[in-house]
Amino acid sequence: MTELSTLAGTDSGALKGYNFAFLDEFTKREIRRKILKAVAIPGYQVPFGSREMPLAKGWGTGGIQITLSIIGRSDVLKVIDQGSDESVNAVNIRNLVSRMTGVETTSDTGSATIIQTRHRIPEEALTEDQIMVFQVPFPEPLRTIEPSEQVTRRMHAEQDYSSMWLHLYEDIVKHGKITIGARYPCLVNGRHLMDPSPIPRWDVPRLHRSPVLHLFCAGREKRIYAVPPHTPVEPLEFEDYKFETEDFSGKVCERCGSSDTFLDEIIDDATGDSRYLCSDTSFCEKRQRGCA
Amino acid sequence: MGRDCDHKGGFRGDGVRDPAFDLIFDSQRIFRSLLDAMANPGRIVTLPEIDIEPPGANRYPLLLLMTLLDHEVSFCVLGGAQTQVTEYLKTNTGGKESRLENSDFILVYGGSSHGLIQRARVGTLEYPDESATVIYDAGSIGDDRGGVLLELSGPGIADKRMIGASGIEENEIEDVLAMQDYPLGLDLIFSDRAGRMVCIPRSTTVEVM
Repeated sequence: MTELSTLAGTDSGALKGYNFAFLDEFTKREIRRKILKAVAIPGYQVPFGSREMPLAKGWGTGGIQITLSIIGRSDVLKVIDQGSDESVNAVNIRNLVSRMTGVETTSDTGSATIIQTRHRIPEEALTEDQIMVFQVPFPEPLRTIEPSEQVTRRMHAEQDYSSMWLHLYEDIVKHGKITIGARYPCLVNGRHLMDPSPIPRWDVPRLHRSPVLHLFCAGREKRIYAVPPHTPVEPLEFEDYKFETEDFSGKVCERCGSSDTFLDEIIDDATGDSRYLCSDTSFCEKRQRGCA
Repeated sequence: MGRDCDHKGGFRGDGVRDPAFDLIFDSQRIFRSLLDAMANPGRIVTLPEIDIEPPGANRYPLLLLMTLLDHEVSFCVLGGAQTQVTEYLKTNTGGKESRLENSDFILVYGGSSHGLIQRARVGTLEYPDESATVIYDAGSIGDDRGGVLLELSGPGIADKRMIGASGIEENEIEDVLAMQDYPLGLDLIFSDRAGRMVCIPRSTTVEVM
């Protein structure tokens, strides 16, 4: 039985002095209610009362609030940053959740139940028992073309995405192709335009009818949105200027030899030569060991 | 608590909180079951056994509301042991009792609201999330004998899913379907007496068979 003192955060959680999963129960409840609405309206940004976290805004405060609101004692958590389990941001978030909940953590994509990510989707195929949590810096795909929240909200209400189409058209006129790298705008369930967070274009088609529940959260911008499993996610494209993923043809990962994964380009300062490595470090290690 | 607020009573009801419900860990487990069901409409999800002792025959809809409600949201109960259930929820959650047209959560007993559900909030085009979630006390889910049989498709469903439920009237389903105007609409949760639950969010296309 949990006493009210626990709700106020004065009783012991996994770490003495904190509530289980750091957040107080009222905060979790609000976030949970908003997650359910986000799931019911795929791609629509639900406003929520984002809390101050022991993490600077812009370092994953949204993702961490989702993770802490959904996580239970039997979950296994994986945290990645640009595909890596070992970056400072990923390690700190993983340590925070682990200390506040006592849950098991892993770098193995297959054994995680919750995967919090910044800017990538793991290369390994995900299953319907897993939940992806995305850290989102800019939830509004229309913000680059329209600074007013009131106006963009009306544009979503009226499904008026003509200025985004115009933006893409102008890009083609100026540069001969669509130059958007990460944060490629997608239409979700044929209704709401969505910013898929700064995942590379490579990962965008992997959201389409994926078996996994994807939860997105922007802490600074105070928005939650979701892509449920088996939901159409279509990148905007023209009939004659199709959406394209990054092209790595002829390039392989220097460590594992992979030619079918998203690669990071590393330029040697001395020689100016380019080297390529898998961005998903856990997957790369598995390949090196011959497991994947 | 302003004058225009239509909830009755104080922040909490007058009773004593149900000691069987763990606010932290039971809420979390029930929420995850609910999230699974909402993300996969038509999937039958079984709620954990928690021996709360609420008024009324079916404790599972109340477990859901004890997970979702607090002082920031409002609810109303239609049919059944309305007064006792309302009091139980106020005591256990601090949720505000409200008129149907303002309620965030609506609990319907007896399989039908007799047309009242048409007054529930469906959200606005700018804020479609400001809509009601409706929980139905169902007889039995996964069983279409003497009940409704629905064919579901849409987000969360790979192709199609059939779901049968008894104890919910077909007229009620028709009333709700007439209100669904995506992205506006109601999100439904059917909760039966064996702890089985199924969700039908507004994004689901429903065909009554």
